[in-house]
Amino acid sequence: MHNSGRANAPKRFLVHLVMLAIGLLLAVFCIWLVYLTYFKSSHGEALAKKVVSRQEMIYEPFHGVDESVHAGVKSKTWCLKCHEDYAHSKSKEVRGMLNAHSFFMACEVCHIAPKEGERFEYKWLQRGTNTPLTALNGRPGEYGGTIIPFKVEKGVSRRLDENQEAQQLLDASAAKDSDEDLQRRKMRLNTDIHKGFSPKPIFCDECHREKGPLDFKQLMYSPQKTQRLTFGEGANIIKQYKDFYLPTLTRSTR
Amino acid sequence: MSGHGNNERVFARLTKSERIQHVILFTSTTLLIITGFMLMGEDWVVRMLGPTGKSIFYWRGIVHRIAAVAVSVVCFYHLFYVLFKTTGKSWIRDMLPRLKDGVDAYQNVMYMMGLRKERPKLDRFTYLEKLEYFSVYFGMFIVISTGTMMWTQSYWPKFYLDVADALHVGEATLAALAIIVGHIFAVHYNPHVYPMNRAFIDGNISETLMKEEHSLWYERLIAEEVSKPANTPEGGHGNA
Repeated sequence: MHNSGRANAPKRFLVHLVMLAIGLLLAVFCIWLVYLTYFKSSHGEALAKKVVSRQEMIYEPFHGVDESVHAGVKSKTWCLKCHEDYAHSKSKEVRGMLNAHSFFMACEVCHIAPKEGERFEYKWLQRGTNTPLTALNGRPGEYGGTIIPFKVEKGVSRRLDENQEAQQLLDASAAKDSDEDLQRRKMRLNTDIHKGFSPKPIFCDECHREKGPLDFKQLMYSPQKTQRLTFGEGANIIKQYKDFYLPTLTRSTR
Repeated sequence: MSGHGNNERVFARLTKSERIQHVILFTSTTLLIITGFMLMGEDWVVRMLGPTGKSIFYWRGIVHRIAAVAVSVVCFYHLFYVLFKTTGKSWIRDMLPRLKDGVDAYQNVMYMMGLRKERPKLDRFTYLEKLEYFSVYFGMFIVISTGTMMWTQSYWPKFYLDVADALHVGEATLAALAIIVGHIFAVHYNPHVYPMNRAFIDGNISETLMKEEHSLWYERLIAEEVSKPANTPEGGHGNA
């Protein structure tokens, strides 16, 4: 009996050692959980924000609401004279996102893709004054500018979102609805205006990647924002999920 | 060690079905805790994983979902078990809370504080075991429902998903702490059973432990034995 007890001593020691190791591991895990729940401010704040406040949530990818929407600021691109503020309406899955983009960029950014050998550049221009922005200050939508595409030919940049004739014609025809000649010219110009437009617009994942048509660094986005716009969460979601879904729970049956 | 001799008389505590349910429950719960809290991992740990991290986190999601299905299946089976199986009915009947549980809790606290000489006589399931058991029902309802919502996220508005996420994480934290601090201590580190209560393996409980932890149940079984020597092997009342 005594010998067997002595023989079992190493086994008992091993059991104690294993139990001590497991116990310590579990204790550390418990302490980490308590730290996560009560002391790690970012985690706690994130949870609180998720439930309590939408203020930060609106800047998350896919649920982003541009400040310009709240402020009621429009890009005032002349396309919207005909197509109105919410120009994208066909696909209800993506139209909200596309319309949100048209608040801060000219339609031509997506709807005129550079052809082989063509060189485009994109700049922020201040709304109203049309002077280039020198920095992006404030939150998205507070920059006060619109992204405008330029076509560079023989060293000369030409704005792609401007058509003086169309602008004048639209203003004139709005004032004189009954002028048949004006309406005919308007119809002809309608065809001309859309000639330069690509049959298929540039889609999300063509822009939100490195070496896409838009150089986010050149557009003065911070390195963090640039990363987010290219390989960050938003772009990854685009890559992983080609299909968009709308919640059906609260959808009206009508 | 528990200090119980090898030739000691044992009583059946868990049936084979209950043991299988328990194995599935603890395996899948362990996997769920590990793979779930990986998402809360510290940034420096994730960075340390480097490119391997991407595949680890890819498999993390798959393992979490497989374990979630396993735990859901065992929970629904357990409901079926306690509602329709004879041994299950006996289990839930003995598990239902009674006024005596409150009295037991009070007397046990008094005993542990040295204000009472004797420990209260506890039945087949103690008040703590009942509390733990019904907490699992509550916890499972929360995590299964919110987990299902997050798995089918495309059908839910984001606000609902955020609430589900907060509830899922909160309940998982509570459950993990309850399991480690409460259950693991009771069945592994409690001096009466150290290093483990073997009931989850062989389904048996020793006579010594019966007298220490479930004296009322022990006395009832002995009284039944005196009046009717033949015991049923299943249903938690048999002795070996």
